Amino acid sequence: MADLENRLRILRAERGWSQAELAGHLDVSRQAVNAIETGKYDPSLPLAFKVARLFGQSIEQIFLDGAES
Amino acid sequence: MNSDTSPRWADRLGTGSRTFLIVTTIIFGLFAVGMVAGFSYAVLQDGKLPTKPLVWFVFAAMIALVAFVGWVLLSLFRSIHRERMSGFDRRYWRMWAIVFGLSVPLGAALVGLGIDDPGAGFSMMLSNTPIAPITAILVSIVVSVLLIASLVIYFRTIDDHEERAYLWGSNVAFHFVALAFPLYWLLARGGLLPHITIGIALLIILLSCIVQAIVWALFKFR
Repeated sequence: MADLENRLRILRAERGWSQAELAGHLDVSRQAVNAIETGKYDPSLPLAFKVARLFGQSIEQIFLDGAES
Repeated sequence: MNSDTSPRWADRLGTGSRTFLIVTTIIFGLFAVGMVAGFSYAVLQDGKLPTKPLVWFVFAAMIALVAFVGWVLLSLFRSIHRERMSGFDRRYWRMWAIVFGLSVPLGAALVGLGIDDPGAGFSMMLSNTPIAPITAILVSIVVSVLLIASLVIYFRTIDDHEERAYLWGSNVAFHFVALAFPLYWLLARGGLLPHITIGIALLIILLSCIVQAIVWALFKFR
């Protein structure tokens, strides 16, 4: 169902954060972070913006449209 | 690190796994406590101690189960309390505490009191035995208010991911009901199943709740 690919795991690893720590920054559950990273869940637009703000990048730089690649 | 003796297994679990484990152990714990209470009550009523070893073995097993449940819950709560919980986790756990704090005592009271027939217990709850109108009205209001309040608290607490899991579970459960009732009706008309009763209808609704829970868990924890 999820067509989006994303760089969330890479960005998280660059900061040395665990999934739980990232979940804390985003105010979501650890399962949500895991599901996004494994491509099982596409985040809502507000959550995608929150991720983008946290890492200081645009949504398109983090979430890649799998159909275009 | 320090004098912490909490088991490592509890530390490795995520919020969802801990929730699942706590709910499961509470259910087993209530079952075991009920067995121990029933046994004790029976002994008190009978006035003499049972002589069969098997009875004592089952009683000891139930006591051990209660102790095990207590140990599991204590380990989980200590682990949760010790680690730094995020704001989301704190709200999430508070939500479950409120929901269970409201619903479990009510359910236990209804079953334990047997509504109008103290001692009838669970069989009374699931039977068609008439009850006083005021009891019916009060229980209906309390159950409705609690369910609505629990859902409002739940949806104000969960994140997008869990909301999606819940909505997909509800969607599949609705289609289960929408399919099960007409199919049952057709099969009953064909003489293949007994005519539908309120008990069968409630059983189908109960099955739909189980379907909802399974799909919710699949989307939440897969």
